[in-house]
Amino acid sequence: MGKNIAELPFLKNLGLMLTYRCPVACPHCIVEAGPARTEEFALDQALSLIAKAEKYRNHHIRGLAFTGGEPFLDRSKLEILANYGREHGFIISVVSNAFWASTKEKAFEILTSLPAVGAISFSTDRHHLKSIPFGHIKNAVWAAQELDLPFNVALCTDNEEDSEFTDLLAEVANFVPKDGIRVAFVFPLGRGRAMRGLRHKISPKPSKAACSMASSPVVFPDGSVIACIGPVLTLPKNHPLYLGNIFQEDLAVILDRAEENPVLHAIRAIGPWSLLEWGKDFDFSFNNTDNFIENCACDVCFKIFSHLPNLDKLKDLAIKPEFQERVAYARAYYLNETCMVKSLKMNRESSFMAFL
Amino acid sequence: MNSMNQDEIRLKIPKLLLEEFQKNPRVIVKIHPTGLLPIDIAILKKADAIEKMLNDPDFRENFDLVAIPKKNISF
Repeated sequence: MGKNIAELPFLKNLGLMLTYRCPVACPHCIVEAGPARTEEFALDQALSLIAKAEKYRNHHIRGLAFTGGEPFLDRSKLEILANYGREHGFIISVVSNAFWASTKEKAFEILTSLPAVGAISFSTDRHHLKSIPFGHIKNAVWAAQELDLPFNVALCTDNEEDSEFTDLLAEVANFVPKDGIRVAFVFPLGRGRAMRGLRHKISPKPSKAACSMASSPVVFPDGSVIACIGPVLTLPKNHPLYLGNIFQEDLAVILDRAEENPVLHAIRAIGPWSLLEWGKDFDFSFNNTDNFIENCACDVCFKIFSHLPNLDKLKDLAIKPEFQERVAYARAYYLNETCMVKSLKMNRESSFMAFL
Repeated sequence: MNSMNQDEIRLKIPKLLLEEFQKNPRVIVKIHPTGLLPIDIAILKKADAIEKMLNDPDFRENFDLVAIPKKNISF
């Protein structure tokens, strides 16, 4: 069975999309954040959510990841939430574009004023750089290093061989260790829908990668809880990775249901490609799956879930006991997570007892 | 680690499934969406280790813990 799992177990981290507001409106932004956006968590809503997250399964969730938009736009709210989260035993992380790091001194002062923040990710790429100079990232990284604050720098591209991207990557690598650099894809979604000339490499075969990001659901200002922060967040709320809404149901109910979601756990355990392959074993064939962005598991999810007839097939697949059993054993085998096997066995035993 | 609880159980995976899983080693996603920084498993393990130590009655009986401010943190 999978040993030495080096990734975060399911639901150990909860993302809070604090705001859609951002000082810049990048053309590739999947959530279409910008200065004109107004949707955000009210302070009391966010505090209440953190309190509920703490209670969930007796503090099972250990990390709170703040994102946006730009969480640093309302620094006093960020400070209150980070302090509150820290006081309630969470490890706090934040994502930022470092617009506030105009000098080393300023960057240091601002990060020092947020001692509850335990890790930070700085986003930059050719689109961010049109509004936020590279020096800001350097200043922010310098300040994080001075404060021993764990950090990474996240870069976006549509093609890893693009010279503009490789030049930027090399520049970042001059002052950031290799394991502190993360690369993500630009998707033609959100504001990116209007982008022309994206140069993804296309493959007829889906990526064979499993998804670790689907272990950390994200709550949005409208209350939506989505299993990840990938392209599926742009879809209507009728796909298996839309987990529920905290303004309609209790967070615990939503997360408990997610624990039993076979589509979600197939994606985590072995990857969204398994839905295509295993679906065939149950006579399900999915459409819109001829071409994929190379090496991109997100695109496999997106292609499957964005085609309406596929969703009906997935619903039918997800209730098949044999499929549920396969996913439950896959979770146990690949991730050392046995709760689904236990739960299914318990359910079967109860049905058997009832039949007797 | 079991995400529901940490009780160990012994599982017998059906042979056909086991063979299929063995044929398909798990590949971790290399490129994924940015915009979220989940806590680092290493940091979580350290935090858990400290919590376990602090909750250990033997440790509490035999040791005092001294906390020192981190570099550059002022009060």
